[in-house]
Amino acid sequence: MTLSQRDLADVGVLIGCGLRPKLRPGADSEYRALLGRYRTDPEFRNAVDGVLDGLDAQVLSESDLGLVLGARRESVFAFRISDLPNVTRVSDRLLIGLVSVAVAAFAFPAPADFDDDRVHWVSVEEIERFLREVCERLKQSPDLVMREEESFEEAWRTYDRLSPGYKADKGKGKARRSPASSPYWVASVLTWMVDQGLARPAPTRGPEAFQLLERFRIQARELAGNATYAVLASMRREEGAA
Amino acid sequence: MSDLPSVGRAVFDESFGGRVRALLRIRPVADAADNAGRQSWGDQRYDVVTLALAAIDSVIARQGFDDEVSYDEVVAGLEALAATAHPERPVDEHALVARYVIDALLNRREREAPYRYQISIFSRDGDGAIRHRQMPAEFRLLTEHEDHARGVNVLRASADAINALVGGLEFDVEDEQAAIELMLARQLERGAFGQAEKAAERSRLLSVRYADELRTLLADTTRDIRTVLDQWTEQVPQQLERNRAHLEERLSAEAKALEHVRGALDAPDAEPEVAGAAARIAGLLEECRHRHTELHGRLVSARTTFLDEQTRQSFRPVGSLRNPNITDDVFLPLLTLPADLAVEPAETFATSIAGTQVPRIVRFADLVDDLLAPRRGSVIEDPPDPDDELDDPDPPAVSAEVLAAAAEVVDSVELPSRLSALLSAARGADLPAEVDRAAVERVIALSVLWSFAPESVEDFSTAVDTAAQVLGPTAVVDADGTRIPLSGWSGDDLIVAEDEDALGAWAGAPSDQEAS
Repeated sequence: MTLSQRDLADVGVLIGCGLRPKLRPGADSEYRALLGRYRTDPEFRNAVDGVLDGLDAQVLSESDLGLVLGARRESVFAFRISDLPNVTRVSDRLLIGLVSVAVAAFAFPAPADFDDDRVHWVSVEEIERFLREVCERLKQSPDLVMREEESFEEAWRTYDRLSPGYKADKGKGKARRSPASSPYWVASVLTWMVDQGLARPAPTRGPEAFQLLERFRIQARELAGNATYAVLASMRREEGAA
Repeated sequence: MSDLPSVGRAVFDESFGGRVRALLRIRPVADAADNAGRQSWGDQRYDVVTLALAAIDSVIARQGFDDEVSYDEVVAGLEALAATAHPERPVDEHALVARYVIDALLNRREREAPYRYQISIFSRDGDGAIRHRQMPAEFRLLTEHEDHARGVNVLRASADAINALVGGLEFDVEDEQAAIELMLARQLERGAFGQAEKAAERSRLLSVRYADELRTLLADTTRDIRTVLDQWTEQVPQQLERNRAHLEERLSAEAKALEHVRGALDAPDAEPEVAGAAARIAGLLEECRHRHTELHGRLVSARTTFLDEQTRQSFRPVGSLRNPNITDDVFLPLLTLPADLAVEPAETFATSIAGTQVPRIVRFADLVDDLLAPRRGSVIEDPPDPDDELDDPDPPAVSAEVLAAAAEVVDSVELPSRLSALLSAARGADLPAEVDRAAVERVIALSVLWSFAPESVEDFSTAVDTAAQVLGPTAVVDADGTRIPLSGWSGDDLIVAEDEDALGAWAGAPSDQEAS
């Protein structure tokens, strides 16, 4: 049996649902039905996977959460960091990346932590403190003197140089955070993660607190962690060959 | 033992540490009760221990089902208990107590870290010397999880919590089940209903633990089949088969026990105490049966899950099966890389964790609008000043009575209609004494005028709401050049219709309408 025109339309509908991270199959009966079909009908599944492959995307997980999609960087569906507010320079993109990794490292420090689906909470202040502490440790690392003789500047200094900023809960009036302050970047990344359905604000846990959602765990475990490791490994290999 | 006359030999037993560990499981609850004295409600004698056990019990009651209990639901339950215990205290305090208890069980004060205690292990060397070493004991009681289908956070009790509550279950679940059943049957025969009820309660808690074991196995299978492959090839098939037979047995056995209990209930000479206990046991057994039925369904699908996962995971790239080590493989290498080289991998991480973004196609018209739009405020808002929040909102310019009267007047006139007809109706309407007739007229006129030509007002949504409230949600207004004939007003006599179609119909036959 081959797929009909109608089936192919359903393939499109399901992919469309998967592209909306905040849509849950629990709230949409058509989504739920198509997701069920994706899980049980191999032909339909192959069609969905095939179309996604052509779009440089892939299914990372299919659960009650919905179809979680991952996009390769060349995909039309890939997120462009430069779309974020105030991201213009190369160092801005570096900061977005570093803070994103820091959030993941803070919540899931060891590989086994990904197996635990307990809820994870983060706040702007915690991530900022976490990054500062790592920077402090790197400053005191014994290799530093040796490395300082080299001409390049390490990535962590880009963060370390940012001003720690003012305390959010002090002072009157709507002082805006400057993009030269580190809390600005942490808050910017977490707000962006809320927009992408990776986190949600948790106002009952204090100002600027967030809950990392299941989607975050899936994206970090199934795609982001290993993809980044692969890039780093290939860079090391090239360096070794050079 | 001459060197330690007051200490028995048991402390050197291998099983001693196990007993200490078991005892420690209640320590967080005891600590919470202890610390309660330092809370603002500390001198009110709320029974924190009972509330904590009630919380764990209400979590267990729905654990493993589709509608696991949420944080807020447990809070609500405990609030009700606290309110019953101290009805004279304010509601806010009951909420504080409920949250305190649950947060203590989650170890929220230490960011949900496991409880950590050091226990002492004493042993004897061959020469009789006593050795001491410290061993850490770590465990959790309640954990918070995201419910995938509903998106809310639900609570689950750890095996530690379930065991601590049931009481040192170191033996095989199935045997325990059979033993309880036997005990229950005996007790029913002898009419020892108090005991029987306890037994039924235990049987229910065991079912929960049973479901939990199965859930863990299936979750591991879905996660990475290779970690449980050995289990699946050896123990699991027999285990599943045995479980299934056992479950079927239990389903019929529980039905029989239920019948037995109901028999006791129906007996004409049953003492009220016995009858009450029997009714409770019947309810309990009913719930047990419900649980077993659900569990049975899950058990039946277990093998299919295994086969499905085998197919799915065998086609998954091997790299993605391993959990990444973010700290050592990604985070630290990235930080120590030269900044210009680190951009590429850092951006890879951010892009791939982001998931997908649907590309927007820029339309010229939107672009112009966007460029002309006023500048948006900062994305990250500071929390509003608490003083501002407490202020009452401005009182509405038009009172609710006037609005209601205006809506009533419009209702009394058949639409489509001229504004003049509406205003005349308002002048002749039977209005309550406290409503100002001129204000009603003004509101009708303004609503019609606003619907015809929306002016930029400060509070746009209020204007829309008001017009919709007075004229109806879909009302449309048009002008045809006729002047308003009414004294006190000037300008176009506007036409009001319920919707676009009605207005079109009016435009098609204006003379008829005007004649009527």
